[in-house]
Amino acid sequence: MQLFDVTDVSTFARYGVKGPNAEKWLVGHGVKLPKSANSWVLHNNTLVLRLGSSEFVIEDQTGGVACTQLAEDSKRVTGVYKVPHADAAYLLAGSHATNILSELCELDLSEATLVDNTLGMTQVAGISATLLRQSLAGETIYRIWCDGTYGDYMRHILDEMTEEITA
Amino acid sequence: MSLRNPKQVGEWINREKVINFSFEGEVFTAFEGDTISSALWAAGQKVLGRSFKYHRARGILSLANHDVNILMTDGLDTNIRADVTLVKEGMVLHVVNTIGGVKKDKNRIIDVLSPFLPVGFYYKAFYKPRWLFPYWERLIRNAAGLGITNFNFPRTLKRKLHAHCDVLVIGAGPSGLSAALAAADANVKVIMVDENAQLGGSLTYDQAGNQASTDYLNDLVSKVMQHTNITVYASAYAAGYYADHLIPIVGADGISKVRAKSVIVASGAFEQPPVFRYNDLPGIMLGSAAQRLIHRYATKPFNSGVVVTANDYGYRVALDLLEAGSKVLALVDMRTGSNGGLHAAALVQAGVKIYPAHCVYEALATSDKSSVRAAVICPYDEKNGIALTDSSFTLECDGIAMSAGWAPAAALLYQAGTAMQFDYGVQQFVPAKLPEGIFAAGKVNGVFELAQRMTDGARAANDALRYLGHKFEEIKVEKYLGNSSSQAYLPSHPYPMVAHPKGKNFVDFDEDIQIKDFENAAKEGFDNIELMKRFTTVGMGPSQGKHSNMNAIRLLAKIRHLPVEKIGTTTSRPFFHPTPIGHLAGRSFHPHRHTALHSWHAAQGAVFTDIGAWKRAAYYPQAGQTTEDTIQAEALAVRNKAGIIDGSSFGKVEVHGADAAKFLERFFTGSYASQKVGSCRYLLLLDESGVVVDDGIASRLADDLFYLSIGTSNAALVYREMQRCQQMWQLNIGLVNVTGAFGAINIAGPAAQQILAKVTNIDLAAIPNSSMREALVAGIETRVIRVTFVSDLSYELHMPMQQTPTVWQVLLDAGKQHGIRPFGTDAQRLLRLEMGHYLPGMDTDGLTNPFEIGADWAVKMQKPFFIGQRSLKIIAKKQSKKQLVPFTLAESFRGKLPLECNLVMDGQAIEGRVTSIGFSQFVNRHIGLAYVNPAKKAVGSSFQIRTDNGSLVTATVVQTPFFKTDKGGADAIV
Repeated sequence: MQLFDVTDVSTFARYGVKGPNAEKWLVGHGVKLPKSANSWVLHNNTLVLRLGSSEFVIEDQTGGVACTQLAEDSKRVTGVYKVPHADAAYLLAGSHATNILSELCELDLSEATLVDNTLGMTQVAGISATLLRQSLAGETIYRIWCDGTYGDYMRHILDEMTEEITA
Repeated sequence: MSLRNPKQVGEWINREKVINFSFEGEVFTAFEGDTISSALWAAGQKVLGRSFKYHRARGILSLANHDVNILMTDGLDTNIRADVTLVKEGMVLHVVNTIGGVKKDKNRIIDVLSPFLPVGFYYKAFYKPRWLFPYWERLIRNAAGLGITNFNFPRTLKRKLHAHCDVLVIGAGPSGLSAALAAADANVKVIMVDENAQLGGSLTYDQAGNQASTDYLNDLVSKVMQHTNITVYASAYAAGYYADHLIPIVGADGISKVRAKSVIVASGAFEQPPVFRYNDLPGIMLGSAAQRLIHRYATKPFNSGVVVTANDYGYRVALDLLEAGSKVLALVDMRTGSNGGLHAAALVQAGVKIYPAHCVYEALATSDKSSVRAAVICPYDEKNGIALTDSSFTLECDGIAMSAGWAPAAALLYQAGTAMQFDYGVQQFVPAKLPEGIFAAGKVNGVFELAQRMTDGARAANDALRYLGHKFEEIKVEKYLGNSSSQAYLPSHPYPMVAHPKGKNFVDFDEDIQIKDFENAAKEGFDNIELMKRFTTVGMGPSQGKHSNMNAIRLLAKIRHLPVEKIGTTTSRPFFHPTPIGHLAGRSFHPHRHTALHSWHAAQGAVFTDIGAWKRAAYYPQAGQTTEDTIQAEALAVRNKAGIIDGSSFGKVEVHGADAAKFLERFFTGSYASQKVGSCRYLLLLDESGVVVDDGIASRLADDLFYLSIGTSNAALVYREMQRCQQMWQLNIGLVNVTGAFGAINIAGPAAQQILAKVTNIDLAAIPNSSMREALVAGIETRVIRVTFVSDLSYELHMPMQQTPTVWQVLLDAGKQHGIRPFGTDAQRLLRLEMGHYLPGMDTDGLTNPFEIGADWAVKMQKPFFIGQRSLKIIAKKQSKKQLVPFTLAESFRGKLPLECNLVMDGQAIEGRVTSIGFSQFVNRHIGLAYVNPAKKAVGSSFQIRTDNGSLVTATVVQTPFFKTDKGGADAIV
């Protein structure tokens, strides 16, 4: 296992929607939703993040098509507000990932607290970010999303820490 | 002569690894694991430092991080605490606060002059003649302070980590270890912190001549270290307590900010010295310091010495000294009666003479005052604290170990808000009421006997677990052994002080404060503990009173004839030990935002400026042009041809829903219910007091959808406030912040329409000012907004952030033949000034209301409600005191240029200030905005600005724009 590795997945397609009718609208489009707020679900190569009771971010992983399909529906619906996303997104892996995140983030990342499918909305390196822990190919990884305009900054911080760890 | 003993069980040094270092130019060797002080002491070096004020020779006192007279410099690093800092290979150590070295410190003359330098002398001595005060001030300031600030100290990264646990145990002595194990056994996550390199606390040194406890300690520590639920932070200290159980743990490599669900403070107690004349000489040390030297560093504190004690602990120390091979000439017990129990018997059996009801009246120094050479002992009237000197005798010795009692290491308990009370049963302050989730165990809790400390630790863990919701029976623990009516078992003596007519009986070693200083302070009226602290400076030195505050309280109680609990304690504040700035700084996090065009700007060599969190291009330097010329050229391009600026940093918010207009009506000052789809209206946001917060543009995309464009700096604040208001108002809306998702480009200037027309699918001529259309620009869906912020003819183009570079490049290509040029924020500010537009935040301040900036037109007072309306109604009835006006300087003006914030004067009266000023090449005049007396707001009025050099410059009020446009403008200028 590597000490620390950062993969930039900002280019994954994303679709955001919020509003009192957002849940119903997404279900109507066949999107499988997490049942509770601040949680996530991965289905058919599409990651669905439920940021609150009525706000969602859908991210297509490799092979996922949900975002493309949702974007094709441009009709405005009462109580459904589209939230354009230009996020920076990173996968953090390696044996030092948790230790590095403990410097960047105040959240308790222990398995007892950040239980499976929990979504953390917190500050990472001083900026608002969404965070989750996931098991990917048998390895525990973290995923973080932040506003894309902070992407260069976040990448710089992560690269700096990668250099320190691997030096 | 070496004082190092042969290898022994439990020592902390590694004799396999020899370390070479120098101290004051002399070469020494040490073993790995030695502290600087232990290494020097083992080598026979006794003068390790000089006191702060009188520059008296000082040696080891506590060996527990309180020996603040032993601070050293090693190269760039300074104020190294030698008593706890491990010696390293190649160290080149020098003592701070000396002139000429520690042995021949020239400032030691101050000790001779000390009778003339009592505490507070500087309050009375230097105010006459007044003109000499700066001289004395400089002299004293130079003498004050320790160490040398080195501005070339390298920046080294000290990480600041976050950690979480169920139970944080502070202190790894017997009670702490017991608590940690008990908690961890209940399957909760435990963090244990101790400032020592090894766990065990007093078990690592307090053995009373019997090493039987070593196996017990090893077993205990082994269990803790192997327990999977316990994380140990050794060589680190809990530096302070902050709300919600946040405790920073400071170690050599950085800080861990621990958020604990519960906290057990098992931090022990600081040993307190008895006070007698010359109790500060090198060779005189606390009993626990002697024990630390013996057991941790296999070093004898002295060869032949005396133990003076005011509790039973001194007997344990004496036994340890004997075990280490030191000769104990006498055990002087300040208490009356027969004390010491079995330990006393063991000492007698070993031939140690015990002197009950005696004291050390004074210590005698060697001729060079570098060490103790004898102790003068005499009977002691314990009740009155008086030495009966008629029967004194002298014992030649090279050391004195002293024990008088303990002060709880309760700093964190105080900081957490614990109510402490004085317990006469143990003669110390103990917790009376602990805050929720905070627990205390061991000596800090007034429990001293070893077995009881273990039980008390388990009891505290039990309390913590029950607090966390675990089901356990409550455990009760007695606080002390013996009969509370007898002082025989008191861990601390109520008044271990010996008066001496010649003084130099030190209470506070940090600041050389003697008993008489307290008496004098009280006579001066500083007889409250907080006042006394400030007058005498007791407890204000680097050790923060860890060995002096308790004696100071006892002294003041005696002086005022009050019980100790009536005196109280001083306030405890973080940090527990001095913490390097580098630790506090941690990694530099400076979050900043880049637009999608950032790399393009950088490739053009743009100079960036910080606006809010954003990096924005200020200007694009051109070869052969000054910065000022570049900015003027960029502005002229907008006036004469076309300019393009990256406006992606603007705040952008969509307001969806049936109540969208209603929300805007409430939130902003204008009217939006009647706004037509496709039109734009000005936004002005006030706070509740009617002060201008921000402004912007609202474009109506649909009956139930507005698109707001607001200022860069305040965007996050405004959006937060919108969310807050929506929480209260609960309207049928949805707020979507698209600041980072949408980019924006502003193309402006006479050729703007022509250029844009080439790349869009709409008829731009059909778009009037203050309107918007959704269009394709370069094939990309774009919101086109016709605005007049920097030019009469300009368009803001808003599109998905990732598409911004495409649109930007297409516009540049399309505008090439028209002379289009990118411009930065510096030119933008000049252009908006030429247009006469104010900028909230720059031309307004925290008191500015809309009437003062001429924004009356934007305030629809007839609306039922908007934020700040109520305040404005009151303000509107009052006479305005200032008015923002546009002004120019005379065409021929050549003097000292007024700057922003220069004052507008009327004689000696301040009438206002300049908020914006600059030279406009297009207008060919210095132009600006300033607050003036409303009586002078009329066009043609003049006022005076006082420049930085005091000269007055006349300015004239004009109308805006500052240049002539189709709509009018400053005819007088152009």
